[in-house]
Amino acid sequence: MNSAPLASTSLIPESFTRVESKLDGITVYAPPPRVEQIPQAQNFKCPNCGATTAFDPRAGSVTCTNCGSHYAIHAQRVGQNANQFEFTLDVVNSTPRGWGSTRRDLHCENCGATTSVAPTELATTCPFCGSNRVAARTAVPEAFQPRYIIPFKIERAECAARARAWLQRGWFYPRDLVNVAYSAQFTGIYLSFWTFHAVVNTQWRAQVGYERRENYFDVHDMKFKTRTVIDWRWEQGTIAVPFENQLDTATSHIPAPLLERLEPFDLDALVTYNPAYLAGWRAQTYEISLNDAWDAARARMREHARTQAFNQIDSKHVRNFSVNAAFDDEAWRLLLLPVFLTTYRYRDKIYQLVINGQTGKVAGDKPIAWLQVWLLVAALVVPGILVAGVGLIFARNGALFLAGGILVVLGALIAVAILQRVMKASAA
Amino acid sequence: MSEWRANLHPARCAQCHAEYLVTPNAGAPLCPNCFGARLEPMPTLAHDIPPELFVPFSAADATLNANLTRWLREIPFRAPSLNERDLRARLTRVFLPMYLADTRVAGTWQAQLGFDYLVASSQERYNAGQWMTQRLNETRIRWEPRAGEISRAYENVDAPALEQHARIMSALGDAERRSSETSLQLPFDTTRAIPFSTDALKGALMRAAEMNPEAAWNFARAQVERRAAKDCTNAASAQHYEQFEMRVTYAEPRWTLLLLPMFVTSYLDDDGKWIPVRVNGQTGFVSGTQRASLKQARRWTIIIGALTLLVFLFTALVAFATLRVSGLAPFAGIFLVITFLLLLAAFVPMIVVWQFNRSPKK
Repeated sequence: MNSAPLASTSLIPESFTRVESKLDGITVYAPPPRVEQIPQAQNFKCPNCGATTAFDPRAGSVTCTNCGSHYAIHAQRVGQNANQFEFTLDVVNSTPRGWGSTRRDLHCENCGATTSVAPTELATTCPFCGSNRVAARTAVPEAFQPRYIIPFKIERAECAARARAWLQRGWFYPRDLVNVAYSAQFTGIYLSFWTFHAVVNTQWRAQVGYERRENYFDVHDMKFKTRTVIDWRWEQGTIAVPFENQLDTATSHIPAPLLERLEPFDLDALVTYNPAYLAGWRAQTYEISLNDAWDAARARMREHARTQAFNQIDSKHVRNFSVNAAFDDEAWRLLLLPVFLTTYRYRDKIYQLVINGQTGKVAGDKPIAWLQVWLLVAALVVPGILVAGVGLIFARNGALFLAGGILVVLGALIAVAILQRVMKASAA
Repeated sequence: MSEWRANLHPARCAQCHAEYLVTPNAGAPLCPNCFGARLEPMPTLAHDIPPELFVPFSAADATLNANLTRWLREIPFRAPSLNERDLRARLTRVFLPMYLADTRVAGTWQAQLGFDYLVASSQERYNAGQWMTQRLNETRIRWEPRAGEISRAYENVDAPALEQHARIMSALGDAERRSSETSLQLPFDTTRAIPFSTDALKGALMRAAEMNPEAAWNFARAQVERRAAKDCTNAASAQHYEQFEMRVTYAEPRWTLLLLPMFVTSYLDDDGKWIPVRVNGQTGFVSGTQRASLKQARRWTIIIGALTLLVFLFTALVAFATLRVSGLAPFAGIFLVITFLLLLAAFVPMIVVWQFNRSPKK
């Protein structure tokens, strides 16, 4: 008995490389492993003159501070399509580590912040708290390799003007506050942010009440009356709530609300990470772990999904509301986003000021000039009191007393509105 | 004449053209395939291939009886010849042929292989103002291209020797687990096969192969590819495969004819046609067209109809009697109702048989 043999031509693509096989008599070839583009450690010395180079936001390239030579940075603009990573059990162990360039970490002994700087930099002041108690330390070993970055667009020189404009804004701040902008030292730093993607498939169930008018006979009054009753019935629904590019700060040394006020960042400007973007700038690795950041983001997402589910109910009467939220397609990214930081001292108190290194948006803390505020409040209320007092004591004039009373009420209302605004600014 | 079948005679069914080897004292039995004609002697077989292995009959009598009883019980108004005693009396042992191929595969392959991986996810439940989190690990599949070389021997690859192989095998029961792991979906445990000897054919017919190994090769090759695909998947530590392709040579092919045991019996339907019933000779699984007898149903309808007529006549008598004895009126009413119910019952056998035969079970 025989069979027709078939001609054998190789099906193995030339680019494939041999990998381990678990069975005798079978070899296995796989596509070459995707080499992570982790650039070799670089010192960013000018090839022309040997001087130190730095990333120039205006030119978008590395520029020699001595001879002015420009060196293009090879990075791919990926925008919002930048790869996202699943929460695989082994992703944390397999993610590449390090900064890909020769950098050293500076640890602030005052606030605990860790900042990555070029090895030649003699950093003596912590950009987060302004402390001088800064010591060099080895790099954080488990730090994820940053994959995507938004380079600085704003130059350091612009910061003082932007800060001045921001400090001058608002009348209830000290007049001399603007002077600190002249002496403020702005530190350009890339801060780590996590972004999260997920779809929350939400199923809700609740007892929903619907009002109904009904007539009834009141035996006490012996007549028919109308009343509102609520008919309760169980209802349920589903809603899929998508979350895309949810930014979460990975630094614990700048209050998250402060960084939120810097948003939005234009994620369309995301490029693949290249250490050259960090030349001459500081960068901070993540301080909040992926798991911790994801826990916080998930809590926020589920609350939002719950609210969306609740809004599906077309009644104000709801009870026994329950929700099942299943997370799907969860993914994450680690980004470096550009921020200018400074701290300034005003009457022995330290305040933080941050500027979005991409858009120039300013946010920060400002001291309130409470004397000015209370003088204004007094100016609003006292005239009315005086008029009412004159009307009551001297003129015995009811109309004048009434006008004074009205002035007091109006002044008090305006004063309360102003105080609310001031308190809000103070809390922020 | 081949030496191996020196004591066996080739025979052929004039109606379905099935070929058999029969023992000299078997006479001219009805064809166990179609039961439409008696087997006629023929000079030689179309494919005279000696069997090497056979699976012996091992279905226990008790199992056989129980399965036949259960199978019969499903049929209402059975034909007179459709009873356990007659079915057992007509039981004929038949061996069915099939091929086992051994071959060595050498060449290259490529496929999309699926690798399972775990993803951490969560399910959150909000109730009574509180969230509860349940951590989950979901298994997802990552598909990646793989290729490679293969040089492996495959043994006992199943291939049919009969045109009706698939239909007969599906009639003989669900696939045995041990067989299906590596082969066609066979309802036999082929690991119990033993070397063939002509003694195995005592009191049995042997169906001769209808296909030669060349014709069966396409089926065998499909089995080899399936087994090779699984092997390549395992070699790459993957769990799934798709778009599997092999470019190989098949060397050192060797074919073995294996015989599978089957009982065949039959019963006569209303039209006087023999309906075959097949029984797996290893497991005792019974299958065959179940046909209810319209004749039997008609007989019952006539009996009940006659009874209805008698009761009706009696009711009429009682009705006349009420003209004289008014107290009999209720009895007349009761008998009238009984007459009506019997009239309805008379149609039931016909309806049941009609309904059952509309979709005869195999």
